[in-house]
Amino acid sequence: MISVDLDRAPLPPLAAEHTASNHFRFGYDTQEFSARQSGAARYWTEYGRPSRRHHDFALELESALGEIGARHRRLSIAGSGGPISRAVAFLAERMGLDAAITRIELDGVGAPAPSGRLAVETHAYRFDSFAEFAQSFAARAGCGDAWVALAAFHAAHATAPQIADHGEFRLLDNGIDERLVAVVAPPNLCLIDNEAFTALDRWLIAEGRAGLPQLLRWSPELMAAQLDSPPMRQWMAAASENDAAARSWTNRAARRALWRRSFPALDLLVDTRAAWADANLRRRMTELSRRMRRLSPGCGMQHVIPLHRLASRFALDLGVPLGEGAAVYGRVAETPVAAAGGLS
Amino acid sequence: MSRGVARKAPSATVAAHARLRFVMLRFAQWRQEIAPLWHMEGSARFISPLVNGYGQLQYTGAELVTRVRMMPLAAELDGVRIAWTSIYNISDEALRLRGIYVLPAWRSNGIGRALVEHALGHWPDSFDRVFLYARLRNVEIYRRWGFEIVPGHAPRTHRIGGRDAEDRIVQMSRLRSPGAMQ
Repeated sequence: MISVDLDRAPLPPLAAEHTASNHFRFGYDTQEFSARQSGAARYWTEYGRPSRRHHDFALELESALGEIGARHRRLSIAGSGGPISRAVAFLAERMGLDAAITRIELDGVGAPAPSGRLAVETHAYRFDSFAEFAQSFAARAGCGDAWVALAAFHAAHATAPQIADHGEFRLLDNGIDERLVAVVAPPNLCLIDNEAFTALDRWLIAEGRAGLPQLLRWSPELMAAQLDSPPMRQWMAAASENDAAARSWTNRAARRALWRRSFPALDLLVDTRAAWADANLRRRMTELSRRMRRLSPGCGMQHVIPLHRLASRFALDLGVPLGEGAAVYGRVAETPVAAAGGLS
Repeated sequence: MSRGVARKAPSATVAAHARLRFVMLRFAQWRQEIAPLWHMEGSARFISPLVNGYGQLQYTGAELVTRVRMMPLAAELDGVRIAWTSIYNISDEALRLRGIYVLPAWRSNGIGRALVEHALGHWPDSFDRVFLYARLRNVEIYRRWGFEIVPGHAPRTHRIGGRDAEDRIVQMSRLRSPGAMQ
């Protein structure tokens, strides 16, 4: 029995492949690839298991693009300035994929157009027009983040399945109080999947559009490559050694280091919003997010995966203790990952 | 909700305990009832079905639906609700108490502790430890119930509904058996 207390239509079944064999799944209570219809529903995310040993991040990203290119004859790349769009444009050109870049400008402000030979199509709008779109996106997808709406706005202009400049591999150390900027507990590392991270998935499903909203989660091997990379290992090691000076709340700096190390020829930023440097636009995006949250109550939850369980899922020995985990909070008997297509 | 008017606590606590009845609620009803009572949590929509207590939950993915049992509970005296709590398993071995609230007129009568012990009694013996996050002003109360601050943990800030709450909180735990110290 699904309880419904939000005015939000259910989604049609997912007919496209958002990640390889849709190994990355999300849902609310017993429904997967669904929309939140009750404030009391439990949000969850789930990852598949790798079928081979992973390569390094750059090679896995190239492999993902090769698979995506083989599935879709033509591709669109959201040109919103984040590291995904710039790295993908670079790789797509090198691999000879049939791809074009979609750019958006709002009141004359946009991310710098990527250099290279791929065609770039720019769509110019007034900010207010985008804000109207963002508010309908919030109500449909359950998301109060204008930057995610901007990713959807790019997808809305694509004439081929679009690789979104969206999503991040966010690790967090629960032993740090980010507001006190202090160590308040032993290390306890986890992967954070915010409900907003899958809003673009929900919007694409609702619109019946094909798209690639989760490139960084494309395959378990690509996920494993990020987790097992030198910058992430360094971040984990600093936490596990309880080095207060080196411990940081999130892996933000490590994510940027991974991009730079993997694509040294490109000066990659950590995310899309860093590429939209205009202070006035960023202020308006913040205000818009506030309005969107009012339209979309109860969609700010997150799913937290203890890193020791994620490492086990990906068959990784990271060589460092990953925190309090099972030793303090107790063990969980492993269960097989449910096959894609339905919860048992 | 059958909250009614909170009556003054009787001097005969034992008699009150004999009239206590514990009920299990649906989560949606539980959060509706506690929303006006909880510190800074005026809106039920800010009260999520599971809180993770800074990485306590060891279940992942659909296990959150298939393996986490959430029990929202209340204590009633003569049919009037006077206390609430909830409990769920954070692993196959440990439990989390989330939210313990007793109406002001009924505090210091052992009703909160009775409700918590009742909540713990629903679980098999394989769950051998229990955690909670305590506001600093309540730490001594929970110490009397057998809880201690988890080694290595210090007070931390917390947010409710996107705002900083005024109190600091700290993680406490105890073994499942009543009165046992960690």
